[in-house]
Amino acid sequence: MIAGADSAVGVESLFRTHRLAMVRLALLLVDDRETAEDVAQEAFAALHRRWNALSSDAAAVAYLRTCVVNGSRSILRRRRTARLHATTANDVVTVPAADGPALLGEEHREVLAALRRLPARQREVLVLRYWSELTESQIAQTLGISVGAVKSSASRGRDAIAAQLEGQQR
Amino acid sequence: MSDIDDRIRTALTAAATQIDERDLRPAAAPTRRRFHQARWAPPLLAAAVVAAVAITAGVLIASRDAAGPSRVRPGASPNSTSTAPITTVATGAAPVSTGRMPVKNGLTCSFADISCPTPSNSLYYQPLWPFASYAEAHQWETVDGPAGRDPWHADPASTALAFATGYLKFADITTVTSRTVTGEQAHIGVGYALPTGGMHTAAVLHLVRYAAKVGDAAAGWEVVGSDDTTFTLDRPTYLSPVPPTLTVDGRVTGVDENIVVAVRNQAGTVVSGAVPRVPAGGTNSPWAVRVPVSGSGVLTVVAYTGGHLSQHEQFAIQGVHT
Repeated sequence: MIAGADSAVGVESLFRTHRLAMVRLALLLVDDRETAEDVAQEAFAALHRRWNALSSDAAAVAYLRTCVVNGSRSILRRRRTARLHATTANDVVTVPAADGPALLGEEHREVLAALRRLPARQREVLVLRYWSELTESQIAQTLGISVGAVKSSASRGRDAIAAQLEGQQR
Repeated sequence: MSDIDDRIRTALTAAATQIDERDLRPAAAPTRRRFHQARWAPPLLAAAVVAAVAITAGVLIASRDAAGPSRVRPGASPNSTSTAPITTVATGAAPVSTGRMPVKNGLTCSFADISCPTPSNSLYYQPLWPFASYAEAHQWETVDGPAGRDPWHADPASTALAFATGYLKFADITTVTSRTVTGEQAHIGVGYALPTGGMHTAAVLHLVRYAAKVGDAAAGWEVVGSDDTTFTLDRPTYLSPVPPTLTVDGRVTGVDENIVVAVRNQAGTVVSGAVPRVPAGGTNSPWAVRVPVSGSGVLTVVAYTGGHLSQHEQFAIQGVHT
């Protein structure tokens, strides 16, 4: 249990200091801000349940991160199927990149588009590695997979993005 | 650091930092609603429940009718005097000419078809319950609802609770524990009151307005999935076709969990065969089970775990089809 803090006070404090970070993490996984805010909100709600098992603020943040990734994956599952059922040209569903993609440079949009085409696991690993700046073991813990799986997912995801970007330049 | 590393890092940073504190909608930190179960807690609290029930049964019975509007008796329709909600849907209704919900691959496209002005989320969702088709939703919106039938369709919280109690038959899910409604979508926590005070959330259900156009505030709400955090249902994937024997898996965080999986058709009938319970536990631990399925059409896979304080302490759903 986090010393000296009951869950109401502790979650409130973490919410103030880490809400934006969690929304941003979710945004990179689900691509729209409204949904990202919902995902982050649910993660903080889930924090109450685990509060007594968390030994520090760092552990709480790690747990929040896991909830955000799992919640985002849940959203993506439904989106992926939705796209599969868009069968005609008129039905092509365009999910916006991060908010305000027009404000991003072309080089960023290409990378983000390539990132969205990756399998969910590879995308999660790359986001946690390059945005959250987690170590391989921290990523493994967050995703509930082995360090070896993190390494292979990162390598494949990175190679796939490089190949897509290279293909666009030809 | 290579060029590709740098490009990925800077692109992610550029995308993430486009939003700042001032861009976020005002929100307070969620209040406590889930209950941590330490290893010693289940037997202790179970004993407390028995003692509390024995001592205060009369008080509870007397106060039951005074419960808030978000509490319903198991299987009852919230805010309605009619029978269980699943029986009140106008099944077999004639196609409604003003409804424009095209069918793709035998499934109803809804909520964001090109012919249905696209809501902000730009997504398709599969209707699971209570309306099996847009015709049914439109029938309620234009005929049954205005006539006063089943007003709970208009409230996402009541619909979510009715889904748990009426469709899934989870009699111990009695309370709405959280409510986030944003435009066409709602995320509703359902669960039960703890004997020690507070609420326990068993699942957060995702609902959308079953409407042909954005901003149709008269449209009824439809359950389309669950938002999984500590108990996930990863396979089958959303709306994937199911084989005769289905592999269902996910992850769970908890102690001494006992996972049960069932598959229901849109009428609520269980169409899965005998499935062994899956013991699981730990943090974000994988679980899996094979499930024989005999139903057809749109199906809802439901997985739940419980047995400490309640039979359904956590559950998750997934829409699939044959």
